[in-house]
Amino acid sequence: MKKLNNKGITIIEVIFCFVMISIITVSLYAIISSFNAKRIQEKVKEEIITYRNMLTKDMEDDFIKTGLTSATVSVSGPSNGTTVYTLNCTLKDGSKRRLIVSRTLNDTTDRAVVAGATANVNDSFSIRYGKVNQTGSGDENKDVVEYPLPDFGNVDNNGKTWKLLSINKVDIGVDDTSRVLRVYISLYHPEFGYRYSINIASPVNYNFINDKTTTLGLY
Amino acid sequence: MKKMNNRGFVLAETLVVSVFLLIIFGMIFNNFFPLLGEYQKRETFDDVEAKYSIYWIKRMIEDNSYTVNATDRSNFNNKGYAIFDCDRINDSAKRVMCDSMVGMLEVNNAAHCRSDNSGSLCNIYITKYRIGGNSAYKFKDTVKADTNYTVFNSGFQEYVRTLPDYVSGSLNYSRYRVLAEFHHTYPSGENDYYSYATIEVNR
Repeated sequence: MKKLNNKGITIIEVIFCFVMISIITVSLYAIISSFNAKRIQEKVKEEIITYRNMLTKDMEDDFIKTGLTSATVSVSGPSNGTTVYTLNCTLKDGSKRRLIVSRTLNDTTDRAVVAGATANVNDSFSIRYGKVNQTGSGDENKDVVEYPLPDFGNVDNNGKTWKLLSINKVDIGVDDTSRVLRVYISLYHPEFGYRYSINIASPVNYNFINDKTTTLGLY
Repeated sequence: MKKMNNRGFVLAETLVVSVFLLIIFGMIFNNFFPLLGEYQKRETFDDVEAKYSIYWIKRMIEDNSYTVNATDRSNFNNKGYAIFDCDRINDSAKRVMCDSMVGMLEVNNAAHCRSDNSGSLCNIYITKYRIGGNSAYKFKDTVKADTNYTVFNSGFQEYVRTLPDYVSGSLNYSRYRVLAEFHHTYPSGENDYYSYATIEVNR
């Protein structure tokens, strides 16, 4: 009977095997690391999108289901880096809604500089929305609740902090000619820019009539 | 003294296992990575903002003041779609509102959502409720046939491709559907992406 191969394991074989296993392991580690970074990025994105969708839905539900009859906007500031935007809406059932966007913005060279920003303050942002208390007793804004922004941490800027998620741009107004309300609130993040901002448009005091007495008539 | 193990097998074993692992990971890689790209593409299909935007367009079409003309009917019957036009609204105040709304909602080519004879088209399409699966419902075929992207952008074509044919019919007995492409560029210079949405029209 022929003898089996009786050569022993050489050190070269062992080293070669070790190198091969190391290459495979390092490659896998690099891929898994990149997926982990992607996972963290997607988690941040998901939180911003969820926040945006929640606020958009709450406001649009009021504008769509009930309908807007009037909308007025007032802006106070900037004062010490703080600007407050207040939108007062009256719906068709007589109830009122209020949106209050307060923005205290630390001025840095690393992001978009907006009017009123100052290097001497910490970033602070607040969005509140809700039904105005019209009973005559108690605080008018007791049901105008805060929608706390997701907190992704801060960056220090010479002893003052600026937040990674910031409201850099706010554009709320009613076009006098067309009577259309626009609410734009940027949710700025260095990785995503202005990509996931809030943008709502709604006609003010229009009566859409669809009584089904006429068809579109295309076919 | 007993002889040591004289079966030299480590290299061959390692090679076999390595090749096996590489094949397995290669298969996983080829099947998994295209899904990531598909997910990123579909992020802008029917997102919340686009859905509310198309809802307002639907309200304008469903309003009694919106009418169609012979050109719209001809396009609808021959190509499977009619282009939305604010000028089809008989009420002057609602016409102005429409013009403003399509701009603020960032409809692609919003400036052409009023008849301007420029040749460019507003990217809001009114179709039958069902959009494919049969020669009588030709919108999907029309979009697919535009291989040079003269009418429909590649992104819009991709969106339509992912839509179902809506064969089973509307629960609200809707006979029409509206599809729109939105081009988000606000704030200027900071944003540049497209989103898409569709909704039924009941009129």
